[in-house]
Amino acid sequence: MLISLQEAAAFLNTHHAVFDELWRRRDETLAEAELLALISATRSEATPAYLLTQLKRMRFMIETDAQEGAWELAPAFARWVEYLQQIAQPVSSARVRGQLLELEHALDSFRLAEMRDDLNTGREILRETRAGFQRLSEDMGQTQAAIAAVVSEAKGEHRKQGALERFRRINRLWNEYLLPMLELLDPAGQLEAVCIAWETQLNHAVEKQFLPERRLAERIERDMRGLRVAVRQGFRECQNELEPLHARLRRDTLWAEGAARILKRVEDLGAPNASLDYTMPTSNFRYVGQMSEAALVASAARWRDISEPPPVIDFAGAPAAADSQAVEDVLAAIETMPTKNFPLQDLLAWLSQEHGARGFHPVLQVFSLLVTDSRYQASFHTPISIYDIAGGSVRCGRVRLQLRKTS
Amino acid sequence: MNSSASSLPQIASIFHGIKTGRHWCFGDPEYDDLSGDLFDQYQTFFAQLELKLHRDARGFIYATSDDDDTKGSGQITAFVVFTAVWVDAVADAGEDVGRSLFAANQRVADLPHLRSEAHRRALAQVGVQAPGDLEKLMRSMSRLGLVDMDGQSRFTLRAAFNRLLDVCLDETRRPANSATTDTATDQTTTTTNTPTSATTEAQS
Repeated sequence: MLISLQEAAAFLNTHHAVFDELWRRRDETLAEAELLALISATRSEATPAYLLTQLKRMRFMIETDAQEGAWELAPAFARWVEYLQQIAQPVSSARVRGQLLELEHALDSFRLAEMRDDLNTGREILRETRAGFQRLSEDMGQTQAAIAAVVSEAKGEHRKQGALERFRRINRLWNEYLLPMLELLDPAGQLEAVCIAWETQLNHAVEKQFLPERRLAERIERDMRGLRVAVRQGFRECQNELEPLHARLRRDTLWAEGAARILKRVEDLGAPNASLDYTMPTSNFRYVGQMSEAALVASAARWRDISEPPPVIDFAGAPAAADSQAVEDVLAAIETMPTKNFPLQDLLAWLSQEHGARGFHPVLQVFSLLVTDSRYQASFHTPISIYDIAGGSVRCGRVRLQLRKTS
Repeated sequence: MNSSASSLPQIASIFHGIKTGRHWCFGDPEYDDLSGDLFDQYQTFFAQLELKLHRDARGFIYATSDDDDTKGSGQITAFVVFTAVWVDAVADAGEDVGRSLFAANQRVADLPHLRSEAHRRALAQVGVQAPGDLEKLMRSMSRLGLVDMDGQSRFTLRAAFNRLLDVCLDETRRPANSATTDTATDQTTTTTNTPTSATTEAQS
């Protein structure tokens, strides 16, 4: 069915608010219900159902190939609007790869022409090659400009798009254009390989006097330099601009997605059953918690193993010496020790070795005085072991003693 | 390594905080002490009490208990629902989530939580029905060091609030169908979710 230009123009003029909204969401495919909601939101005088029928009839909106019931702005119409707005369109990496392949084929043809000493064909190939490099520069320039425009739009303070929509656009640019393009432009990538091969071949052609004038080769070399330096730098700048934006929008989108899922779970199961209590563990030190069931069971097991009462320690029969001179002597000896002797890695073992001859009780008293002395700093370490000191035994962990720093 | 209490200058204040689930952020006096050279010693010391100290690269430190009885609470559920509603409302409005949430000196009265019916329903389940309840909840968060509040009902989120946003991120990593099959007794999956990959933990 033919649609007259007058009818289409009148429809556009009357319902431009609808087209503004459709243009804003041009990268999306929309279900009929979404389209009706979008049209309703523009508060047009005509009914949404009527407007939707007209949009379809005039082929402003077309059904996508990929999915039945999903509609998109007709590409031909979108191109016309882009043309009006002078919008730069990014060029796909597939197209750039194709152009590079053409340049490789042109190189093969040029080699053949040189072998045959066919200068006319050689000149023709060089003309085409130069045009090929220029096309490549223009396409990449367009892509750069398109990326820069989207980044600028997404960064704008007075934007209309939600974070999710902006992320979709940025993500598409990131994955479909920027990353593959950076791969191509990489110093080890396809562009560099093509340029080096052409440079080598042109030098060969000049040396062998196949090309009578150096000027012919120099033009292409100049174009290649432009591509390799300016374009690569431009895309790096794009990456620098796009990367933080991409990361920020991605994070916002994930937060929103997670939040929506949590709320759905709360709605479906109720908050108490939504398993959220344990999602953010914190500390909550409780003294009562230290007496755990496991500890009680372990204690009970130990009691069961005791088959006879413990031996009675006869303190009266083995009194500590009333004379504390031995203790004072040991403490004085430690105080006068050079600082380089500290730290003592195992205090009790050291006391036993150095002062064990003074007896069991003085060594123990010195030990207890030193660990509580503010001039020293004691730290306790596992494992627990048994120390044999002057005929007695002490079961304890290793104690490290160091001098406390004085300010 | 020396991990005696006497060699740790802020031990009393930090232990007091740990008892209440406190988070220390950049700017807190305890944060300077905890995040510096002494972190390993603090971590070793608290490990003896079955408390694990976590240092997050985003500028905050907190502890978790090994004791399962003390890990979860209904209050955490309320915090998570509060956060999810806020993120959902901000995203619906098309605003940048991070920028909106972390804006300085916001008013509790301006929070979007109670504007939509669906959000009010979700919040009612955790006891939040009026603006006063929202403020009460925020004061609880403030005690945990997640939020800074002043006396005029104004607040600023602290770096540690990222832990609640991590819960939203973790949710996106859960299989979609697990949302309806989980029960409150299934603690294994949720407790292993945190801390997220965004956190860095110093190993002693």
